[in-house]
Amino acid sequence: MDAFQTRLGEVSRFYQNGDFSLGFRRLIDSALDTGNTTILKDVIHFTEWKHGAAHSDELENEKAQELITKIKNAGVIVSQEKIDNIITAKSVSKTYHKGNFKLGPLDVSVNTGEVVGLVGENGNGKTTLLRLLCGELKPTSGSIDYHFEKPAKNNYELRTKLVYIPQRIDLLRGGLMDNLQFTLTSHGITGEDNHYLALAMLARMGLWPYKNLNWARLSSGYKMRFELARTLLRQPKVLLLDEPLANLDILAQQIILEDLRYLSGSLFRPFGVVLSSQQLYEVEKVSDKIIFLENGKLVSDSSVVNEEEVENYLILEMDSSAERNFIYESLKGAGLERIHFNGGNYILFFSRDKTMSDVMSTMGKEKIPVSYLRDISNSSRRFFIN
Amino acid sequence: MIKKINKYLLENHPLVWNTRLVWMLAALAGMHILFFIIGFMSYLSPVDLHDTSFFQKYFESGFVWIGVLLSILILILWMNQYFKHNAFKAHYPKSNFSIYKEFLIVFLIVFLSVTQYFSYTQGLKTQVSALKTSEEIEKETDLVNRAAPFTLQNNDYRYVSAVYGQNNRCTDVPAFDSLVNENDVLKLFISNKFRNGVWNLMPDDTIHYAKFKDSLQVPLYKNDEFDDILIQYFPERKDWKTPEDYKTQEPYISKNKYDYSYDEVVVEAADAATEAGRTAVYLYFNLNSIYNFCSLPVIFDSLKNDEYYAKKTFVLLHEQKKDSIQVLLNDYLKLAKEYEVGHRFKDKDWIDYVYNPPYYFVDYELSSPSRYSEAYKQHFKKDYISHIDMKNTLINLQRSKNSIFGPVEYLICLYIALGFSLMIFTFRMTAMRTWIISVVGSIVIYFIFFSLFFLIGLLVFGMEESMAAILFLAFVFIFWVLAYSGILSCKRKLVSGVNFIWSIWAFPAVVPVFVALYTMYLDQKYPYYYQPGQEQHAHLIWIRENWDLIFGLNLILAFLFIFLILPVIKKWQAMAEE
Repeated sequence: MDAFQTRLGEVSRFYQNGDFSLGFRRLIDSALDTGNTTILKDVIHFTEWKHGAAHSDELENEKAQELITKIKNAGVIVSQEKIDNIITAKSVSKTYHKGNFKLGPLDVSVNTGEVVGLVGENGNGKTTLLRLLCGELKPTSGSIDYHFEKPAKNNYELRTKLVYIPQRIDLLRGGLMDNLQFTLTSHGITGEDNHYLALAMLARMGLWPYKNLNWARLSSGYKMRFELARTLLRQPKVLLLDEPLANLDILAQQIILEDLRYLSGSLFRPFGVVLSSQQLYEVEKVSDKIIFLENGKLVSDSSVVNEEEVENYLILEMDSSAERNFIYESLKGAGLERIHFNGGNYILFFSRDKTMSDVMSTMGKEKIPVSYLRDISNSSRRFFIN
Repeated sequence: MIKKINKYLLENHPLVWNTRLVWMLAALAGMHILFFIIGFMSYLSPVDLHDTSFFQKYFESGFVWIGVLLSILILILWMNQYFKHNAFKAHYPKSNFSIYKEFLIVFLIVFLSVTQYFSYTQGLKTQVSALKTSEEIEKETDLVNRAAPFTLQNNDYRYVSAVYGQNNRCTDVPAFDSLVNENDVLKLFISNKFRNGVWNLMPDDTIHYAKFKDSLQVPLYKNDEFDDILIQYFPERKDWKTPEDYKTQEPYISKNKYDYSYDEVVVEAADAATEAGRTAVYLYFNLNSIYNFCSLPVIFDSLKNDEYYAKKTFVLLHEQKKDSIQVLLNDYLKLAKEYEVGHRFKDKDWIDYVYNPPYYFVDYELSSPSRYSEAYKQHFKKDYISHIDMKNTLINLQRSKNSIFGPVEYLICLYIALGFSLMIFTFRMTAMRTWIISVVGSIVIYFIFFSLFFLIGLLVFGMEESMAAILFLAFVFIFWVLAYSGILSCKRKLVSGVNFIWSIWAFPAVVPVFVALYTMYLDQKYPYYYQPGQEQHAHLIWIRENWDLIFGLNLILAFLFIFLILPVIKKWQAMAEE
């Protein structure tokens, strides 16, 4: 209950501070957590009004606050499931009939409410790992165990709980609402609940203005959002996404990642997320842990990270128009031990006793032109140095 | 309204919504009503009823093609809607019952889409059935059956002598019987037997007629010898004609134009006579008499058989009731007019053709081919009455009062629907790639099989037909067994998917193939030569008499098989690809 109240407080503040977009999304998340149709109806009315006639921000804030109070009074349904760890894969490996690629053996575990980022260059086995986890591929050796409160009766039932969204999402036909409502009825949600839940999910994923469109008319970015909306209504235990950010603009990428973060942590229906991506920085921001794959091998799993290795250096990534020698000479005094240039950015290795502020103050003094600077000591970005 | 219903279905009955069941039922009901109306309006005049295949009008009128095109169109439009969403392929939770329900819905929709024949024919039947009451039909049937002997033709108009010949009759006729003595018949009978070498007696054996009395057929007129003796009394009935007469004289010449088979018979007889070098042909002793008519053109009542009517006719003739016969003929002509049955009595009145007491010999045939067009009538230059059209009219009227559809019609439609729904269902439950490979693969396999089959046939001369059939049937069976075992054993999803589709497609053929093989085995082991006293194997008789039951049960078995295989479908769907 406390977490719920805290969150509603946050939502209220988002609105007060004018962050309407974020506030609106979190408002719907909270409404969904109540599992209350009347609240959903109110949210839909609010959404209709919001997308309707022009209105002032004050009025919107006012209405939102009213709604927040209602949600607060309705209360939350908290998931009773006690299981944290939902997938454990032990010494899993996979070789294909054709080709000589081999994944693993590796250990992976996914917890409820956790976002796991899966990174690595192309062809290193990210998709293979995701397909193994969702049961689309069979491991050559090792085992994958799923821990649900109600164990699946058969493989088909298991696969209804593991939702895998491939990079090239399956084609759908028909209208958006039809697809969402059909998904809901197929999952046993009927009647009024079905209608309002589908609408709420469209609103939640920013698809409200397109609710009467056919799926085929959506742009590829919106298709990914819609796919997520459809998937979330399936109440998955684990959501496996292959390159969900590939077709999205930078803003949409951020929103999707934030959404995954928020939605997986639902109080009512938490789930685990594994997503593969090339957008290291963005993914790292939302992930609870990062799995880095190289040539099918696990290079690093941030949940079992070797602390010593990380603490050896302060590693900075920098973009600068300055000459390599100039940079080296200028920063030597600030503890620069090694410099690496990959054609685009410089990777600077400082001794561990230095801090970002030390380096920045030296840079200022030496007047080094800097257009981009980032601490990647704890980021898997450091594995992409070549 | 439509939106509201759709919304309700979508929110509460996803399967019904997805399969568009409600709309399809409404549309198909509309289609069937339309075909019913078309069928109802397809009856134009009583002339239609002259056709023996009147109730097959759906096929003969070409509406079947409209029906087929409409079926294809409806099914394509429906599948386009139905395939928009697929809960099973999307791994939504789906129980076995739900999958089975889906199959049943597909089957129902396909079945209703391919059965326009029933509604069309039912419409036709309804219209025709309204023409007359059962009582009226019974009365008219009775009239036609009573008048039939006077139409001077057989049901099959070509062989008139068959129904008016002495040995066709089924009742005693004193006019003829009194002329023939049993002893004479027996003597002639025995001498014929000796002449033909049927009986060999010792030289010293004396013939006692009494000894052979039982050899005669009862009644007496059933023996050929009866005719031979009767001939003696009617030398003037000998029919002498020159071969040229047969070619030029009426009625034959006018018949020749329309009836080629009759033409052949007559010309052949004439030619044979010419070849024999005779100027005249002894063709037959024309002892055909109305008395002998014993045949039932239209059956209505099991009690009123051919003998019943033969006796009625006998009374009319024997008591020389010319007036009663005249009334009967008038009534018949009135009915003929009503049903537009063709007739012409210009040369003589009908009664004059038939009323020839005391023997009522048949000197003329009133038969004519069944005709539909006016042009036909104009070319027909002799007196006639188209009794066959009258007979067909009544048979069709009677059929309109009973069920027209038998197990054949139902089974054909059910199997067509099963075939299509299995194609659609397997497409729905598996991946498109798997399905297409199954289609192409089965064509390739059967092509290879047939190539080998004919190659072997060429190499092994004289392979019996039954052997070839056994090979083919066994192949279908083995194909199914291999496919079925393939699903369970194979580890690759594509291969087991193809096997899975094949085993579903081939299953409805398994039992019929098995029964066919068993029938052939029995045929081989217990050959049957239609000899008296020899009975066919009991199983063979049962199978032949109950084929519809076998196919019906097989259909139920196919539905059961699909239900039992559902867990395998689910297992396959969830199977890892590699």
